[in-house]
Formats: sequence, structure tokens, C-alpha cells
Amino acid sequence: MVFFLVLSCTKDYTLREFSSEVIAEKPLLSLSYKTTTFRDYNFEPSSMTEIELSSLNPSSEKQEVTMNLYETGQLSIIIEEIDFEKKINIPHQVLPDDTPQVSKTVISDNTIRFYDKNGSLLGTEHMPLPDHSDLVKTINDMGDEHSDEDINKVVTTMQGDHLGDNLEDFLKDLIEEKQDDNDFEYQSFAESNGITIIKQDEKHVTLRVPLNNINPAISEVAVLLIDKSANKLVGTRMYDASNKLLQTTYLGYNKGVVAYLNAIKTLEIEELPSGKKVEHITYTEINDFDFNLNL
Amino acid sequence: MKKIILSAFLVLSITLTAQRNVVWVHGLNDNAAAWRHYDDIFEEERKINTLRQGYTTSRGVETASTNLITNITNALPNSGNDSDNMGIGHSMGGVMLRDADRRTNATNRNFGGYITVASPNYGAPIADAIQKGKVAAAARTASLKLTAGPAAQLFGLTKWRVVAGLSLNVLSAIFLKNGFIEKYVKAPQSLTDLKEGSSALNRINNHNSNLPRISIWAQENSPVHWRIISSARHGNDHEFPRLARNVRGVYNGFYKYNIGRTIISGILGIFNPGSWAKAVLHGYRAAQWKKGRNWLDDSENIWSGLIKTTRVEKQYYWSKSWQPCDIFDPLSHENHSPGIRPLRIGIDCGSWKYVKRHRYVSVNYPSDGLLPQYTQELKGLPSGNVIEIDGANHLEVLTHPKTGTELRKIFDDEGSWFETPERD
Repeated sequence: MVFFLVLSCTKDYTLREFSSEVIAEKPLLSLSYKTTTFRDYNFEPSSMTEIELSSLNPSSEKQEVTMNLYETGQLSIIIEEIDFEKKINIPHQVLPDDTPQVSKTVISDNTIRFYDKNGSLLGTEHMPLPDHSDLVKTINDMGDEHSDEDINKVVTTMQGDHLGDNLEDFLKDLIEEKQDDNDFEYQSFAESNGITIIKQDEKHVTLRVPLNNINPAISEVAVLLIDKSANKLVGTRMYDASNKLLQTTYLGYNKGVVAYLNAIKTLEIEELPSGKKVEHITYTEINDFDFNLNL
Repeated sequence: MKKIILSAFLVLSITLTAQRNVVWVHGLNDNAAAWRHYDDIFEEERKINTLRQGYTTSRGVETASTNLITNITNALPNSGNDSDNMGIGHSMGGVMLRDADRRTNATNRNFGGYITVASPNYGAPIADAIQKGKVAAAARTASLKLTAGPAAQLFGLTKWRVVAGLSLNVLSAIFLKNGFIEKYVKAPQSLTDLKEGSSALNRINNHNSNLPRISIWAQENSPVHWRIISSARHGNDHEFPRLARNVRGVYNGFYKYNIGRTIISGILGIFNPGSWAKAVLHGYRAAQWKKGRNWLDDSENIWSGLIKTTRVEKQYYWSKSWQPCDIFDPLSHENHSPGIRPLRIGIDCGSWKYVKRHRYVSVNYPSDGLLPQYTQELKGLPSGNVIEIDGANHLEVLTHPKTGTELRKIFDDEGSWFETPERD
């Protein structure tokens, strides 16, 4: 069964089924989208030296990204640069750069290849991507555990409210609700994975998740803000082992019928060599979202 | 037989006296080989006697110029004070010629005119940046930004090479260890003398020379920093830019890969909320790779800040921004997020919109990758005596084809003091 979402600028979408012969050639998962990214900084300009300003220029970029995951665990990525209106243009390069610019990047078979706008190969490098067999297994398990109808609805609308029970079950597995003098406290049943609920109300739940659940070598802790009614992740924070905030991310979803992820806002405090601190903001807008599962 | 030998000697003497002495002077902590390329070419092409020696340049400008005067006098016992002698000095070599000009007079001067090539006539801002530790700080920042992605991805940093022939630690230290900054670091007195406004440079610039002089300045194409480093490491200005482009591509590849994994984990989290933790992890990794990629994008501007070829301009630009509707309540996990400001939710939350912003941004202007145009150009010269060589960096100018073209024009300039005929 193939679950196929094609979401163009006109926001139409289709579900298609392919023959088994075609399916055999298709990736297990394919994802493509256009992403426009704006980088900016918040700081007091008068407090900055010229050298400090030289690393704080705003910038923007637009790319089309296609990612395919195969049953073998292999993953391929194509990144194409796109020009766009209102691109932030800081005229910092007074002199022309006559070196060939990368227009397209292809990553496959642990190799990255760079092409110019004419399609000429500019260079290749070894690029070892992690193994994705765990992701393949997760997707296949999902196919086994959920109905085609449920998967179809998620893939074609990117909405998860109909699977809200998954979240409730997940939370139930974590929480023992104790009533003590009319105060509610939450404690984790699953001390082995250390996931705890920090706060919960009608609309949101905030979880604290040590990331050594994913890999024992990772010492960071994630905090997740989940919209329970939409069954969507809407915010995250990342802390180091000493509880220092590393990064805050907000996630936004398209308001139409197809509620795909269309906004990522990332905030991070950066310390300059002088000790001054600036807030680094990255806005990532996602459009023309295509998602295809071949289960 | 004796007559023949005597005649030959006389002819040779006459030929030699018809040739002018050209003294090629190298720059800071360089050596006599620096000017070999054009010395060989013009010694064969023009009627010149060439003098190309090594000088002690690490102990300050005055020590170096004293060394220059002594060496010329010793090497040219019969013509060391000939007013037809010409000096050609690269970088600090040009400053040495000017200092020798200042410290001598018409009776004991070693040359009658000179050409400065890519010289820090009014100071080398990089000298100040080195001495104040700004270059080292920039290298440390580079290291932090370039290692953030690989560290977050759990690569072994000591083993992981960014691209063929360029390891991560080499790249992050490149501002300090690149084949030419080391030379400057090892010469503290000369660095002090070459700082803007130094007493050594003030003495030279307060001297009103009446000698014929030409100032050649070089400007390099973007990316100036990778090109000059390439010239130092590889002997050409394109090898390192190619490597840097590939490194940038690898960082961008990992950045986009992790963004993709974030999106996928976000979707899978609908089925199994445990996947959302992976979305956080991949999102964090993406941001760390992006730091390194951003640094690579900014590195030319950062380098230009160190060599002071930037100016600050107020600029308006449009930036697209997005305001989340969900509040990440800092009070809910106060122990983990000191100082976090609560979000203010507006009516247009959840929507993308362009916002016009202004910012004082850093803007580059011409340099040879090490020295800004304004210090290479000697002031007070006729406009025709200030010559630009485009597409050449501070090191490359010693061998760049356009340097030969311009020197040839200077030597061919009929009637000028610099006219130097071709050999018969």
C-alpha cells in the first residue's frame, strides 16, 4: 500500500496506489519540500564592535530538498538551491566570486556530490550518514500496528487528532496520578527511561525526556510541548547535562485541511568571544510538502 | 690574446655601467626567494643588475631598514649610492625602502626611487588583531562552531575528516595556522611597528620624500581569505576555496539531513509519541551543523573584520518571521530554564509575514586578503603612480601575471625615472 501526499502551492493532495512492480522500486519513505530559511540576531547594535558585527549579518536562503529512505536502510538526499524574491542581500562581497557555485547537492551511498547550475560535477567527498535500519523498523512497525485508514489520514492530511489515543496511552504508561490534599502530582512509572511530565492542562502537556533513551552516549535532556488536541509537537527545548538551556524550538502547522509542518522557529543564545550574548533566531518556512509512505 | 681579453673586459664594464641596479626587497619573515620569479624574468629581459638578498625583518622596521642599507652598501661597493638604483619592496619590504629613504640623504642614499607593492604604508590592522588576541579568539570561535555539528552527531572528532585532505582541527585553526600568520606571530617587534599609528610608521609617514615613487596595490576576488590561505598552503589561489566549498557542502548536507529527520520523526510521533524525542534530537543536531555552515558562510566577513576591510552600514532588509501561538511556559520548568522570557502571543500568531528591519551590518571593501586598499595606496602620489592589480592576493602578487604586466609598463614608461630599457 502506498500512501502519497502531494501538496503543491495550490494545496491539493492525492492518494495513489501503485502496482507491486512499481512499489518494489519505490523508497519506503520519500519526503520533499521547499524550505526558506531566515537567519537573524537580536542584540543591541551600539554595544557591538565592527568585528563582532561581521559575524552577525542576517541571511536567507531557499532550497528544495528531496529525501528517500529505502528498505535497506539507505537514505538519499537531493538539495537544490533556489533564488527567490526578497532574499536578504548584504553587499559584503564587493569583488566578484568567480569560483563555481554549488547549485545542486546529491547525497547517496555515503558520498556527497556537488553540481553547478549546468549540471557539471564540481566535486565529491565521502560523507558517512548514520545507519537508518532503526527508522525502517519504526516505519514498518507502524504499518503493522495501525490501520491503513489511520495511516492514510495522517499521510494525506498530516493531522493526528484521530490518533489522540496514542498520546493518551503513552501518557498513561508514564503517569501515576496521585491525589493528595486536592493537589495533583505526577510521577513517572517508567523510571528506567526517566520520562516525566512537567505540566499538563486541558490543551497541552509538557514532557521531560532524557535523550539517553535514544543513545546512552547522549547526555542532553529534551523538553517537549505537545498540543494534545491536535496530537502534535508544538515546542521543544534542549538542555545540557547541567540543565543549561541550549535551544528552544517552536513548530507551527499549516492551518488548512492538510496540517503539515510549515514553520520552525529556533532560538539559541550565543556567546561571542568578548563574552557578550546575542540571541540567534532561525525561521524555517516549509512549502510544497510531499510525503510518501510505501508500506 | 691579452688585448682580446682586455677588450672583452672593457665591453663588459661598459655594458654593466649602462645597467641600473634593482634591489628586490622581501616582506616580513620572508626570504630572498620571494621575488625570484620576477627577478629572473626582468634580469633576462631588462638592462638591470639585480640584488636580491635576505634581510632580518623580525626585529622591527628600523632594524630591517638598517640591515637593508648595510646590505646594499656592502653588495654594491661601487654603486651602492647610485641615484639610478631602484628599489622594489613587497609588503614590509616597501616600508623598509621608505624608512631607508627617510634615514638617508642625497649623499648616502642607496636608491633614487622605489616601488612599494602591497605594503602596509599606514599600518597592517592584522598586526593589532594578532597582538590583541583577536585572531586567536576568532580561531577558537571557529573551532566551537565547526565542532558543534560533528559532536552533536556523535562522530569521533579526532578521526573524522571533514573532506579529503582537510581535517576539522586544521580547518578550525586555519586563521592562525595557514602559512603566513605564523610568520607574523613570530615577529612581535615588527608587528608592533606595523600597527596603525605606530611610532615607527608615524616617523616614516611624516617624512616628505621627493624621490620618484610608485605604489602598487592588490585586490583579491572573493573569497579573499580562502584564496590567500590557498596561496600560502598550496601555491595557488583555488585549491583551498574548492576544499572550503566542499566542507560547506558537507555541513549543509548534514544540516538538511537532520531537518528532514526532524520532520519525519515529527510525523511518526503522531503514531508513537516517543518519536518526538528523536525529532528534538535531530532538530538540535541540525542547528549545530548549521552553526558550522553559517561560520563557513560568515568566515570571509569575519576575516575581513580582522584585517579591517569592513565598514558598518545601516541597511534595510525584509525578513520573514513567524510567531508561534503556543506558549512555552517557563514557569513550568523553572529549574531548567532560568531567564527565559514568556512569549507574547499576538493576533497574527501562526502566520508568516515579512517584516522590514534595519541593522548596522558589516560590509567588506577591497583588500589583498591581508591589507586593505587604504593602507597599500601611498598618499600624495600622482594618480598614474598608483597602480591596481586586481585578482591578486598579498602572497600571489609576487608571482601574479598582472604584476609582471604592470612592472613591464613601468619599465617601458618613456622618459620617466623608472624607464628601464630592454636588453639588446
